Amino acid sequence: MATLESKLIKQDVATLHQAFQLQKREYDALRSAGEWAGAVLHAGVLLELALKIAICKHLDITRLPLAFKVHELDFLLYCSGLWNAFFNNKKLYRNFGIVQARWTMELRYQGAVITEKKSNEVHEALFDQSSGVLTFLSSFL
Amino acid sequence: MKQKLVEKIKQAIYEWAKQYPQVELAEIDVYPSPSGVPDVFHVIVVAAKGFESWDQADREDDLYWFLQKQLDDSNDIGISLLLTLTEEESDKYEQVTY
Repeated sequence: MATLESKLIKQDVATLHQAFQLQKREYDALRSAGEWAGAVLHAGVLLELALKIAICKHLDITRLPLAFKVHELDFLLYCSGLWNAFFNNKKLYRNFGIVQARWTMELRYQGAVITEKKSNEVHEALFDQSSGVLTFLSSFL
Repeated sequence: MKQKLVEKIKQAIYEWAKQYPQVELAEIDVYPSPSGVPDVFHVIVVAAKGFESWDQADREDDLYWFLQKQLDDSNDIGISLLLTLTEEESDKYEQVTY
């Protein structure tokens, strides 16, 4: 019979937090260096990690079930307990979509040109003071 | 039901494009989010002409808010991914995606 241990992702929430901080430092460094594509790639990962941490908090668990070993931002947001908060805030939900679209392009369209402008749009969508996705999520991390 | 929503979104995209005579649509792909979240859709719009001289973020914002207005009576529809691509961009995207 499979143990609970075998049904959980190895990384616990503290590790996810550490990974988030590391990714954030790398994200900042990439933006400072003008590496726009790399910054957008990290932006998507930052959002993914933030949502996974929010899910841990929502479920009051330290390790996520294997079902959460995914990169689908829609799914993670849906399971975070914050779906309605996003869905009912049009600007916040739009910002979520902007990060998802640019990240998807960068992941799936090799050779996509990520300009400074596009990177800035993603940055704004994440960190805008009033409706940035990570600004909003920060109180749930 | 899902198919009806897909058609509704597609129709709204055609209406949006009519506002811009320079835009010649080549393909509209609307599909339920692969995540399985109910009533959430991904939208990819490809144009044969008219996107190349229109900033991608600007045209996507324009389309997104247009769809919000058009689908206002369907409050439960979510569009969590919206991409507008030129045919050249679409070709490269598909090479990697499929």
